[in-house]
Amino acid sequence: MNKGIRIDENSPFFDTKNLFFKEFPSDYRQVRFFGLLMIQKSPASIRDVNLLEQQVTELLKNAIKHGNKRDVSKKIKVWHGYTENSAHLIIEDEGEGFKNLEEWNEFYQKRQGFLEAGDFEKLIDYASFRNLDSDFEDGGNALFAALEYWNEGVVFNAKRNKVAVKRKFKRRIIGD
Amino acid sequence: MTIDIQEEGTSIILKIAGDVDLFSSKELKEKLMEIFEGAFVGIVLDMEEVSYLDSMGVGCLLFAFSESKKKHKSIFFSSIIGMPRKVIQLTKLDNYFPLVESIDVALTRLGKADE
Repeated sequence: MNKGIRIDENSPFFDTKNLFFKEFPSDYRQVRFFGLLMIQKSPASIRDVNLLEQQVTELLKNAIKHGNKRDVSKKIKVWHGYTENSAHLIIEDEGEGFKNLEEWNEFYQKRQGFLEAGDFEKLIDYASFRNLDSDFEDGGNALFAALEYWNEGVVFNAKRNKVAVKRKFKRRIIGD
Repeated sequence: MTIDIQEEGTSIILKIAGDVDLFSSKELKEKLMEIFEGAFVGIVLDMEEVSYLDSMGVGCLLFAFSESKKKHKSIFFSSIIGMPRKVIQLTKLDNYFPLVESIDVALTRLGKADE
């Protein structure tokens, strides 16, 4: 069972060896463009139409919007690496860190419980996570999808301003 | 993103096309708010032509579904295919959302709910 988002300063997920590095300004209007740049080095076989792009872009958006509060003078740092069957990303912002992480995990566990029980009446209250930081446009569901997609895990550092994610892709045997 | 609106009796169909993302979802949500204030009893969001959906787009669908319950209106999301379907599957809301395969199926079900 998925245990939610982890906090582990010493996680091997933060090892940047063999990863590419990029730095972006917190320019919200360019988030989709940054997402496209980030997947340029990935093999086409793992892009899954544009699902990889979408999941990478969600993390960039969180760092720029919720981390750096769209302050263009603040940077986000990104390390990324791909193989035919894996994707690994680390994104660091200059913000104060994901303060509501425990609250989010608790919310997530309840949501998982209602999903597993098929209790859709209760699920409606747990469909999206909202707090004082949420605005009119916030979907409040990006991290639920992230935990599904990044199937090796989602880990934050102790300061909670740096997230590392990994996904393993199933090997596809073609022409066999 | 473009939204093409058609009225069908007491129902309204929104044919959404293009990218429903962090830039366009605000416009969609505002349009939905306007529609929920209106007299339509049935609403269909057709997404056959949607090529990209992100968490804010999913947020719009959640908003539409919960508003329809609050305001006692019937709603269906038709033809969510390809990448948008995968995005919804990641949120595990595919069993929860009122998904149907086509506008015709949505209208038939709305007609039956009306009787």
